[in-house]
Amino acid sequence: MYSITQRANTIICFGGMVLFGVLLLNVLSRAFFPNHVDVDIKLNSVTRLNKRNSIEYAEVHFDLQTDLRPLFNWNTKMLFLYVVAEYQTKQNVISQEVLWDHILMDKEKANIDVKNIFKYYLVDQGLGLRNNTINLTFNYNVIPISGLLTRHKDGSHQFKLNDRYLLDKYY
Amino acid sequence: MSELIGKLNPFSNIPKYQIAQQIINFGLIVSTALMIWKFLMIASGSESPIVVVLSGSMKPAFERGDLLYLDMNEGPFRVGEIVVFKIEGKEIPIVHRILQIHEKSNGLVDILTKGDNNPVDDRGLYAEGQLWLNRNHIIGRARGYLPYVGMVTIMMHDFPQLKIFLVVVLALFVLSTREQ
Repeated sequence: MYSITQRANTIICFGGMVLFGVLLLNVLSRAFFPNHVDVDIKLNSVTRLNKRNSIEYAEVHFDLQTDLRPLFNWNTKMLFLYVVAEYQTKQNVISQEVLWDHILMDKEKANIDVKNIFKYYLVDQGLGLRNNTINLTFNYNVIPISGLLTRHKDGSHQFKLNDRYLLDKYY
Repeated sequence: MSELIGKLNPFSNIPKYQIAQQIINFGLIVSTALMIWKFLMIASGSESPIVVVLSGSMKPAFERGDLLYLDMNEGPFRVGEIVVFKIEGKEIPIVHRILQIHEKSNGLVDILTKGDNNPVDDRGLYAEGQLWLNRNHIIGRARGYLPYVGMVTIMMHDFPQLKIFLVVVLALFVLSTREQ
């Protein structure tokens, strides 16, 4: 009556259902963990603002202080941190560019306090940077061990770019 | 001679109605799978709602063989979203993260992507002379994640014989199993 294939089938089916149930509970449990963090982000300096081939670019340095340890729970595989510069130009209704990103795997390294960060240039599609207001925001993307991928935004800082080109100090 | 064939043929001593039933069962399994896929397509709005990660360019977030659920609703694209896009002239879709967006007043949007594990942005992967992605290149946004589940697909992709072998074994199994 009960052949080995029938037993295997039942075990695999039931095992799959249990795993799916645990996955659902795991995803739902996210609701009980905090997803708000206090972030202090502010401009450090703009060390370069220039143009090349009628495209303006700027080198923006900023300071970041935040404690992301509460975001690590049993379903956190890693956090993808990124700082976005958002602005408007005559050409574009909205432009968003990542100025810095970081992969955070380790809870021990999640208490961040870094000054003078710079990774990517702020590059416009045209001549829209001078005298423009830039909004810096800190964002993070939670990569779970399994489940939903979510993005969150916490902390922002606004500053205005110079109306004249700034060449690199060291030239 | 016909007796010999009868002995060798595993289906010969199964009643005809049971073979018919097995074929219908097999058809049901196939059509259920198709129904689920089509339903997911409608629910997600994406032409390919489930994709398997084929490269390590998004390590350590996604490894080869991980499964992603995509959706493609009308909302605007934002920086930091993980999207799946297809470049003209290349067959395999790419899963990468949006690094820059520039949205025009007429709703058109220029998008630049980068893989978390790659040192530079994706301009080198785009078609020759292409600087930006547009909405029509994008298949969907990654919303859900399951590790390892796509490993079977990866193995079938790497060893095509395995695909034929699995299909034949499954078909024989379904057709020759008798209900007792």
